[in-house]
Amino acid sequence: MDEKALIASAKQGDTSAFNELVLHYQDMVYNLAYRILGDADAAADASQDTFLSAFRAVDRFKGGSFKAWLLRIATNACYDQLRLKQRRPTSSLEAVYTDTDPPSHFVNGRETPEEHAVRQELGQTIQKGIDTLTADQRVTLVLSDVQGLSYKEIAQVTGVSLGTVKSRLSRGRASLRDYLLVHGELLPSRYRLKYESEDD
Amino acid sequence: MIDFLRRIRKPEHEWVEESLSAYIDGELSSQDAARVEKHLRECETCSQNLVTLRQTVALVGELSPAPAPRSFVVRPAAVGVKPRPVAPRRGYGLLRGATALAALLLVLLVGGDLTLQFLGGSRLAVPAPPAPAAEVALAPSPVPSVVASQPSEEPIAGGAKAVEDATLEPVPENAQVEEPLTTAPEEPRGAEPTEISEGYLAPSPQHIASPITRTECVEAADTPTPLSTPGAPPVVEDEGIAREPVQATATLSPAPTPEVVAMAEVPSKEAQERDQAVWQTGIASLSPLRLAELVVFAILLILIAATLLTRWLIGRRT
Repeated sequence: MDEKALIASAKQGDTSAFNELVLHYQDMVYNLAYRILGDADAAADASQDTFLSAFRAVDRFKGGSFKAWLLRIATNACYDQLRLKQRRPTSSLEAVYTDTDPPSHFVNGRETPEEHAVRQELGQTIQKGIDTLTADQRVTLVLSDVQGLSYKEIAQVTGVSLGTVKSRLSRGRASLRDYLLVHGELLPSRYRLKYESEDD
Repeated sequence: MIDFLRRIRKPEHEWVEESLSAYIDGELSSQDAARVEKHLRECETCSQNLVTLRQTVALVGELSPAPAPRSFVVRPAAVGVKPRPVAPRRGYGLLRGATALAALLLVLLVGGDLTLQFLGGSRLAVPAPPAPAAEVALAPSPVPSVVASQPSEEPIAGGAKAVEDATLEPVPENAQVEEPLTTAPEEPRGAEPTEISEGYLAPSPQHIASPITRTECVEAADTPTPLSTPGAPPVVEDEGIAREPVQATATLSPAPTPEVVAMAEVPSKEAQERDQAVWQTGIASLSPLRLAELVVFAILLILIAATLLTRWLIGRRT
């Protein structure tokens, strides 16, 4: 995929060229939105908004990392969805139905159904822990630990300083750790958070 | 500088605890990393926190990626880029306009045709008595009433003479009367005058009744019909019509002589010119009108079909 050529064509209004970029990045954008929002429908809305906004703004893309530029738009779309969610909170019944981690495939084909179920449960527990964080902490933690961005890239995407990124990530991780220490007791021992003394 | 000030103010344990996350990611300066490591050797709590924090980061990293549940490709219509939809919609608007225009045109044409037929039907009785020469020329033509009516005048005039002379004569005898009056050798076709008379009589059925009615018709032609009065041309025709029967009555005799033929020929040429003029005006006013109606009707049908098809296509696309 010649990303530069596709971007150049997209700048001319070529939707088919832009859609090649969409197909390449849509899993990344959706995964980011899902982990930040914790809701499949809201994540789909945010993803759609992201690509629509990106197409409308692609002529203002001045080069650099297209991925970081797209993630910035996606992050803003997630903030919009979070604000929308605050104004119109979901009912507890809706929360019950959306209280599942997205279906995943068996890892390497060697994963047993039991292991797969445990991993699904782990995913739900972690997602619930992420949902307890503030919006800024969530965004920073997902960009760092799910998307694997560096502090500098996170600072570019979120438009804050490196110090703010460090602070938000530290507090976010600490809060999630505390959540998992309390709620992760039902998980298998290898997924439980343990102090070094317990390993011995 | 700000970090330095914060470090001074914050207790060492708190600062290390907040820096553990960056320490895991290797985002601390070597100086700060050394400071953290020194504290970790002295503080058990911070050491334990480092372990659990590392495990937390590892667990988050193990999360299954959530794949996009559907495609998020951008549709041109959704982003305002609609080169394809615009064309059919604009074409659809044009088609609708054209269909409406064609329907209006058809209504106007039919209305005009009906009006002309109504006016022309009574007016056609007026130029009835033209010359017989036109009869030969126009008889084979498929053009209806207007043309056919004119040739029938002379036989009618002849018939009128015959009625005056003797008894009611049948139509074929009118054809025989015609023969000497016309110069063309092929004129004496017995059947033609009958057809022509029928054609002439078609608009007003009461004229078909008998030769007497034909004479009445001729008489009526002498006195202009109220409908024929408004225009100048009818007046001219009336003059010709008035002149012609006078000459015809002058030649009233059982057997037409060569003088009669000669006298009859002169007005017949003038009448032929008049007939041709009337013929041309008739063709120009009525037949093209009918033709135009048919053409517009066909176009209207095509436009309706195209409009419906385009509408269906647009609905299907959207």
